[in-house]
Amino acid sequence: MRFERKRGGRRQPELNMSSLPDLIFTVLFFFMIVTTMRSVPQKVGFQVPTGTELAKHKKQPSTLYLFIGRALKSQGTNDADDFAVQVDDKVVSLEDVASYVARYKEELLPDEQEEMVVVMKIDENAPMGMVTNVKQQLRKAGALKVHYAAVGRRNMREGEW
Amino acid sequence: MRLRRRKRRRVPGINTASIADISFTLLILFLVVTSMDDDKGLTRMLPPLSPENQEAVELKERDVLRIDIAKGDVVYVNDEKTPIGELRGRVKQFVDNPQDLPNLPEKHQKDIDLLGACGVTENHVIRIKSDGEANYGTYFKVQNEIVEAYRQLRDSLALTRFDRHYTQCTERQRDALRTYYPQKVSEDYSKEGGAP
Repeated sequence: MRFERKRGGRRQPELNMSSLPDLIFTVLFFFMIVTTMRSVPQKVGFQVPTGTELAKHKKQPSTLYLFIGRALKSQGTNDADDFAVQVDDKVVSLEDVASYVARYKEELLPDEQEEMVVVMKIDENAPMGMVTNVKQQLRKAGALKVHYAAVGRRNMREGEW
Repeated sequence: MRLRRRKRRRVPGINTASIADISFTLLILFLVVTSMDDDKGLTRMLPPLSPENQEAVELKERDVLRIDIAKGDVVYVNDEKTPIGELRGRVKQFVDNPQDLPNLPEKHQKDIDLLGACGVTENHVIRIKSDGEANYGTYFKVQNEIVEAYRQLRDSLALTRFDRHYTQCTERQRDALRTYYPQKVSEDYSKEGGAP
């Protein structure tokens, strides 16, 4: 009798859920801080090459983004097969790259100009003629530090001579 | 009497049960939107526009490694068709010249801090030239192989001389290693000529 009563009387303890929102908020804030919203609207589509010897580029105010990729259909009259150059958020014709980059550089502070980096995100299939042309224009504009963006790949052949 | 009872009324508590759901929704939104987008890649310096009156530097044939990227993404090293997989070995052989061969870069005696006197192929140049119709992907692979070749050379020297990897070396040791294997890559932007 006593045994039975004990069993029946015991309640399953409830899990205290009151700290759950706090936990979730913490994770939420972490992601809010880490997230970088895409700041540049994409007007060309590209797939950067893969590499093994990559170094990180730290984002700084003097970073200029340059993209070479296939022009997206939504951008006016271009065929989807044509490669186009986008500097920052504008599609720029090949001849205007130098003047655009030079103007961008002029607006920077003197010490920022020194360490200005052009991050180039170039499609794997882009013709080298175009890439070389853009590079020549960057030289003309005095933006000599470039960063070829790529995605990492595991090095499978490590240790081979 | 009625007034007093009114004063006693309790403020109703806010039901906070849904806060967890709301923040879950936000959390999932940020999880989806987040792209841990760090700009990885290879950093390179372009040569400054040369002034008109610049003297052409005479280079010895043995000091230059010519890499040509031709149409159809074929890579030629000194006019010899080379698969990209073998490129790194060629570059290492060229930069290091371990057997001091006469057809590879000349070694100059140099006194390097921490390393002492050693023969350095300090005049070597790797010259890349790419055809206008070659793909950027191939060019990037070539650049990647070259960077990797230098990194491996420096790393193995660091292991034998300093007993540690290049990444673990002090700045002074790295300077010495960089003097031993200076990175010299130039690019030929001229249009005419090129690989066969």
